[in-house]
Amino acid sequence: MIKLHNIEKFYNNKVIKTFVLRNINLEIEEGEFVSIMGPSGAGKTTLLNIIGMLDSPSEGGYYFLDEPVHKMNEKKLSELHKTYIGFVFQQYHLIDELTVYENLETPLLYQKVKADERKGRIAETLDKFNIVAKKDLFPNQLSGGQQQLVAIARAIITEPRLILADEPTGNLHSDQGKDIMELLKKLNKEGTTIIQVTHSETNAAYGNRIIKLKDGWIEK
Amino acid sequence: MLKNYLKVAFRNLYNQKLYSFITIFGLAFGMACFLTMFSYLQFENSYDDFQKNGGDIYRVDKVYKFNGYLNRDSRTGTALASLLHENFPQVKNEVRFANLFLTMISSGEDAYVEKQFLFADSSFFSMFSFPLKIGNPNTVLANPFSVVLTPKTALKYFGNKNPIGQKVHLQMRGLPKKIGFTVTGITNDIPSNSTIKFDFLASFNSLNQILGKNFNNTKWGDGLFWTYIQLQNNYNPKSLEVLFPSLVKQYVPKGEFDIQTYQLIPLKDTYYNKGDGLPVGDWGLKPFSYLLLLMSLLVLIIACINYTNLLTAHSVTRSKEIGVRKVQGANRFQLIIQFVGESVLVSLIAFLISIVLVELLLPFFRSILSQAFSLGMLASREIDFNLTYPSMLGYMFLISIAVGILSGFYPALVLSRYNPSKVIKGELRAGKSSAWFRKILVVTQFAVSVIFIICSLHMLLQINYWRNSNLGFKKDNLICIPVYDNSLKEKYEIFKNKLLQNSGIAGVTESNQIPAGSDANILYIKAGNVKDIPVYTYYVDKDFIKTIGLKIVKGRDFSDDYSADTKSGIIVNQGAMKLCGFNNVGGQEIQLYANPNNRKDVRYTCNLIGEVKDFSYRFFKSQDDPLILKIEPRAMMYILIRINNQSPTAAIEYIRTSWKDMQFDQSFNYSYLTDNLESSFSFYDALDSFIRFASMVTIIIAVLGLFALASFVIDRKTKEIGIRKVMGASVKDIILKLTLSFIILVVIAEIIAVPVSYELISYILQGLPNHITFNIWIILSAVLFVTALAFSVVGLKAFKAAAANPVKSLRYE
Repeated sequence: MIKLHNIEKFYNNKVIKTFVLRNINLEIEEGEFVSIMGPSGAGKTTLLNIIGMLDSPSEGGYYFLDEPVHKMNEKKLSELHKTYIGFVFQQYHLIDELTVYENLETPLLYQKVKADERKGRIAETLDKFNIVAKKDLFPNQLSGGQQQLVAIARAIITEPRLILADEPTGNLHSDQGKDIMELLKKLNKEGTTIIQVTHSETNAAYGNRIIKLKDGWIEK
Repeated sequence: MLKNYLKVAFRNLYNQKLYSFITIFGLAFGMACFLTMFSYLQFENSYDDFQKNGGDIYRVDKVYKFNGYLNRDSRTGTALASLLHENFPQVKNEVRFANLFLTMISSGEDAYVEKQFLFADSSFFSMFSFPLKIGNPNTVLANPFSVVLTPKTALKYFGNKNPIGQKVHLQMRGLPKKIGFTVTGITNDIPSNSTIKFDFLASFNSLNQILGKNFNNTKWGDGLFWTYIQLQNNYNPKSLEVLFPSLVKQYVPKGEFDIQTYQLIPLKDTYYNKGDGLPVGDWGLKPFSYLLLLMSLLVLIIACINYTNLLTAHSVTRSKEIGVRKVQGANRFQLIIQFVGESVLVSLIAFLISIVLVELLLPFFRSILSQAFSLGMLASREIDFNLTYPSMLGYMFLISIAVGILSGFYPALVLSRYNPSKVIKGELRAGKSSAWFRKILVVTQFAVSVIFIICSLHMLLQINYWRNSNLGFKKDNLICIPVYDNSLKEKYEIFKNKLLQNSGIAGVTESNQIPAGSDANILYIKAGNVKDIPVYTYYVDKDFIKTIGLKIVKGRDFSDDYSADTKSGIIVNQGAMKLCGFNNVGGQEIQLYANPNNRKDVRYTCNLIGEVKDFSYRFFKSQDDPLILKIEPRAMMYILIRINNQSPTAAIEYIRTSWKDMQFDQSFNYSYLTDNLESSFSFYDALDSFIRFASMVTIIIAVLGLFALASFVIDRKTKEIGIRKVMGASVKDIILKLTLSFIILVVIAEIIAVPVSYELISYILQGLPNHITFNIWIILSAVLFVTALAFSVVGLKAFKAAAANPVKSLRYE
């Protein structure tokens, strides 16, 4: 599904070139549950953003479903990522001015899903995540765990084939964290590919493969 | 999708109440100002549009030479119309007007001073489109002493009675007795956008009998007569105008005016093109109207700038939403649409509010505008514009959409450019470029406000200067009563003596002019070594100089001891002494005559008995223009009464009862001389009201905008403030640090505004009579005021931030 070939990422800061990712070669198959681990500043999030097409590599090739992402224009890129990829962030990143229901609706709107189908899918998702009662609340009326639940619901509502999660439990109690991880595991079982960035060995254990980063290099 | 956008937009507006209030009301005020002035301009431009023959109707103006210059005056006398009719078949129709301006009209017991009594030829109703409610348009003005009333006038004089066949009586100065007019018709209401306005329209041929048979073909430009003609369908006026010079040579006698030719002014143009003299009806000043529009446009632009500014600053708070939306698949175009759309939404809300504001502001604007054109003798203008023009609301709707797009485009562009991966990591801060942009906008806003304030204060100072200027006589406590009834002239001495018995009355005199009025009578003089020189003439009684408080420089005042004074005594001002080359007063002979081409027709042969110090006998005009004071009871037009300061109301009450006892055929009606003076500069007063209003609105918008901007910036600096406090910075240090960057912007704006307003004010003042100069204290106080205002507003916010507990702010970040 994902092929990274000699990916480099660096920033030109006046004279000094600061490297974030060095010579990354990586292949991820559909259906995998991959955990990216490593100390702060190792480049985990950058790698995730590149995979999620929010950031572009400085050098190297990126093939998503065998299509060369590094050669695409912005429109194609945005098309690709909105169809195939769902995001979950450490800080949840729900839109504060929208209710749970409306937050779930937003990605469907950008995908131009018809009103009837939208209603159906939202109802189904609310049900699946057991948050029907909360559908008219605003994010700041929910606990952190509940917000993350909504964020995941929002990520999967478009039925993406890949979910990228950046420390999804970083801001949560361990109990809440456990629930979230169970949920991801369940989604993976249903066929969604998942790539998560995490600090925690426990969370990493939910996946079936661990990639360790250090100073931008993949540790073998 | 739209619903999603709208929800976010409305919830944002709701959550940020202060910000929303400032932006929406700022915009709404700007729009309201513009909308009002725009409708006013529309109203002015619609003058005479309703006239069906308007395209073929022209006002005929005389072009004459005076002191070597060509002047154009719309007053063309009575003889021109028939001359044009007989010589040019192209002239299809003609109407002469006479306007008396001030008359006293009575019916039974009721008597009122009327300012819109018009005479017109009987062709009036076929040429102009004023439908009649009652009466036959071809005959209502056919007979002498017929009059057509407007519904309002009919109601005023006759209530619900049928007015047709009833009589109204006209009292006019110079007429021995009242003249009765029979009501023959009722018009519909006169549209307020008609240059030709009347409450009474009497048949022109009545004047034949009032003024004598000869007047019909002898008047060539003096007096209050106007000529309007209607040409054959679409006939080009230029081809008629070229024939006028030879016509003048052949037929028009060399009279008081040295007429060169005539000019045809299309009816539609007469409103803005009144010529040098008084027009028959309404007139406007194009530069004035456009100046008002320009000012309101500036206010609108300031409001837009304010909006863009706040939107740009505020947009950073939306960066997270942008990032999230981008992650979920929004492309840049969609984001721009969303944010420009939000801006248009706000603009449309402001538009709706502005309509309400306009309705609230209209009475205020209307009253100022009618004040602008209220000259003493003219009827007060009904500036009756409103927002009923549907096309205009349509325009304004489009304009507010444009305002929304223009104001929202820049912030939308900046916002949509955000890189989602950075936004989501929280790395984003307001960009440097947008900070510069914001600074420039703030400077512009304050510069315009300061310019407005400085201009307005200078106008105010100028008007005060006029108000308090030394006129050369004592203008306070002087009461004027206009004279209409001729019996007043006969009983004047009795009335005067009766008044003087009261201790509250210090003096009584009469005159044919109001001192410091708008104009004065002209006669030509032959005295000493000069002849045929025009001089201004005041006809007075012997107590005039004493009563209004003039100073005798040489010779003596009029006196009962010299019986010849009444016939031949003459007193002149210093200007006239100089003109004639007299050094002392000693009975020099002075001849006065009305027509420089006919020196033999001497009105008066007089002897000089005194010289008075120059005084402002005409307001705004120089005091040393030659003036002659002559006793002439027949010319009485105003009774001037000086009352004592102690109890003016008692004195006026005494005058009122005395008036009643005299049983004059005129109701009691008076004004203070100072009120007449006010009307001389009421136009400038009105202009100042507008500038003051504009400066108030702009400064309020600018200061509120600055407050919102400062709040925004300071709120984002809570962490920095906390750290500084922990490091030991005092509250004072922090306030200074926070406010200074804003105050600098205000100071820069002032540095720009001062020279600009200097140029502007100098230019404006130079065009005014009797003007003040640029005032440094005004600049200083305006600058100080604005700086202090900005400082206190930003300082307040800074103080709140600086006084907060650092522990709190640090924990929150």
